[in-house]
Amino acid sequence: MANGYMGKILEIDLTSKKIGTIDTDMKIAEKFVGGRGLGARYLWERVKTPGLDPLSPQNPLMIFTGPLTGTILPGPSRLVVCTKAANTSPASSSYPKASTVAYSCMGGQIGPEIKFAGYDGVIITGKSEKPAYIVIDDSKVEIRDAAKLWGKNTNQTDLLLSQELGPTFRTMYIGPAGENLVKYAGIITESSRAAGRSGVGCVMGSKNLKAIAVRGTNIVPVADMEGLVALRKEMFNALKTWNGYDQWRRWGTAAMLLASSQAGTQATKNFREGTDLQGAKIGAPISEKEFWVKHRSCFQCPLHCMKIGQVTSGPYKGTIAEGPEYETGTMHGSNCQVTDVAGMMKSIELADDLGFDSISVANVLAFVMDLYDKGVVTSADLDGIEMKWGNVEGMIALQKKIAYREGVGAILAEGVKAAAAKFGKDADKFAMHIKGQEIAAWNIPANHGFAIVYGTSNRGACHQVGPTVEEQQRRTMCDTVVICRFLYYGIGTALFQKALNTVTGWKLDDAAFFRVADRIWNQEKVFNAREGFRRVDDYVPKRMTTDAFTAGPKKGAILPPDKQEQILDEYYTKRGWDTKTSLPTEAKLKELDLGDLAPVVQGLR
Amino acid sequence: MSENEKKPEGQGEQDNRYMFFTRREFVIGAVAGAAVGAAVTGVSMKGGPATAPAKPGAASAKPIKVPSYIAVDYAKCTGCRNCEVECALFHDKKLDLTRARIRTYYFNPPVDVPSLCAKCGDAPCIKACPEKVGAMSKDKTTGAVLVDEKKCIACWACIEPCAKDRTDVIRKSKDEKVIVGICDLCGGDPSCVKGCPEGALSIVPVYQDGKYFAAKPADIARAVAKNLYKA
Repeated sequence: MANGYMGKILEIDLTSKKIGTIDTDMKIAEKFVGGRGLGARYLWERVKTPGLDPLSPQNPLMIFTGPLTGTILPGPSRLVVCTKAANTSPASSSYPKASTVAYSCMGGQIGPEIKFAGYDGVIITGKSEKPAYIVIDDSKVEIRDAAKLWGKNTNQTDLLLSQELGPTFRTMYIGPAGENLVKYAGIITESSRAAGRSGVGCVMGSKNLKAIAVRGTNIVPVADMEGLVALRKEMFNALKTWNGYDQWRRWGTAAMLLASSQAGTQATKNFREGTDLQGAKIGAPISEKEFWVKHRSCFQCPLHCMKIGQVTSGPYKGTIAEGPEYETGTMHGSNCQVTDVAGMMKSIELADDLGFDSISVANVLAFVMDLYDKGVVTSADLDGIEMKWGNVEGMIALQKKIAYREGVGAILAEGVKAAAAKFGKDADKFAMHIKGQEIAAWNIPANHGFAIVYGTSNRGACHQVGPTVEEQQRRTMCDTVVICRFLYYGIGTALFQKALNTVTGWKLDDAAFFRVADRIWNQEKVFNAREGFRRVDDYVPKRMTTDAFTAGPKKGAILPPDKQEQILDEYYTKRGWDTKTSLPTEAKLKELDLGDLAPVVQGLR
Repeated sequence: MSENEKKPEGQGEQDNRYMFFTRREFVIGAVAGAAVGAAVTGVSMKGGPATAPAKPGAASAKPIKVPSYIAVDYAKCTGCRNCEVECALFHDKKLDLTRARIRTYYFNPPVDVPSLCAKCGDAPCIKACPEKVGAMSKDKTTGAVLVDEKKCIACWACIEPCAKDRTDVIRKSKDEKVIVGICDLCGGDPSCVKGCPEGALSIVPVYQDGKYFAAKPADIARAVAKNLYKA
């Protein structure tokens, strides 16, 4: 067994109910390391036909850990859910079900537990005839009948699983949104942590799989344990001396609510503005005073960026929600023009409870409000709901309709891109997505770097990938080894690179480390290219290049169309890709040991 | 301090001898009825986020000189499980969390509960250990229950009384050769207390004439949730 790896991947076919293990392919692991990297390669090897319906039983739902997952370092708490995305689509393609790769990271405790159970990953294929859930207790793995869990919200599912299995099991599950195949459904753990993006909960729902519970008793093998103990101390100390340490601990990402608003980068009014003039109401200091009850950490993390908040008075009394943190506070707050902060908490709670990707569902709500405001849709189109800006009751009602696909909910469950096509008229101008995935809480016009972040992300609009190729390489490695990006903000990648070598016994230098990232990115890119994604799919929504901000410190901010072209040209050149098509060049693929992809790309030119 | 033979039932916190604990804001104490085994656990006042972040590593534990246990401030615990790793590293030099003597569980609504031996004064585990085996004893200075793994015959007699109405921390080792889970207070300088980044763990003297602080994680979680989420 190679150090850092458990050496086995659990493979479960829900159609035949066959459960088995395969050896972790170390040839792949040496080239793609873990997490998102293993996901990219295994997806390529398992999805041979382009245009595979992501909701078909053949689409593998894969959960990967990394070599650092479950070690004693700070931040190795995460797993990555990899599959073919349910919620993305290209501008045009010969395949009606074309979509991108999906990778969606999740923190908490379940990532390490999968390794403790003895697996580097879990690959789930097929479709259960009846609702099912999987219980993994070391090598004892069972598929159980989920009749009593099906239909339950995520908090109820969490409770029922804990009551049945006890708190030693760590669980992940979908809510009604996933069950009803809402395209942007997420997978939830610990009531409010999520592998939210990319519609991974929709893929899980398509397999009739409600939940996965894991418990393990194994130890992650480490090449140099003494070195790792020393490195653990060094990393904790490095974090403590980071000048953002206290702020992260105290406020988490909510600290950015006000800062981003001032910088004109906060998604506001369905991305029409970058500054929320009501913003002071949704900042961290007020949230701390009014709502926050406790901090929560992932495995081994001293940053405890998660804040659990409770509403203690008013009509939403009793609401218990994570945050607000930056994403939820912005998407359910300023982007929907909500000023009732307690109501915003209710909307956040409901999004997790119904099992949505909180970012996407709130983007959908803002999209509807924008359409309503401009008269493109009326309450008659919305089953009588008056979706005025800031109407929290409307947001709640609509979320429920979407989760159960009732009335207009069935249209909105497909995401803003498909819903806009259905609504017709000018609705597509209001749909803030890239490649079909809804844009997150950082706005683009006042910070053009985000046009690269969202535009070039291989899973559709994603705020996390980085604005330059170098930054993208670093963050790709975070998703690969697998550690949390927030620790990386504090102490960079150098110590994690050292950690990878200490754990695995490898001797990767800087160049080799980042070549892994480049390889992963190109592997994902080729998968997407085969589906039909090209340069045209990397553009920000047109409105951001035509309508400037009308208020706030960044009034007038816009992404000029020629700037959009220019930054894409620069980016592709830097990547070693053809600027016209965005396809990787043959030389680039060979340089990255991806020669086997060259003929595929050749066929696409 | 010698082991006290007295076992007062339902010892109230109004008793002067127990004022020491009630003055500490984080633990009222637990009073258990023998039949039900239901423990009412007092928890800290709400205070996590509003307090200044603890400086990890700043706590330098004084060596324990009187029988003590480790009290948890549940409002401060974030569920990071650093305590488990520190425990495993101290005792086994590797990350075998199955042998950690402190384990942290998550409950819904979000509550994190570190669970460890309560250093019950009457130590029913020791009493359950067959006399001729004698694998368990009480450290005369720290009050911790010490397990001689060489003597343990894996009869599991100690597991039941702990599971019945105490903390339920004693369990079989993975190879089922010995019991694990009992906190030995690291010989007097607990590594979990030193390693907690939140300052959620404190060393508190414990009287030897009752099972005052023993409660199971799920019961603790219920009490903590009621306290934290008041609305």
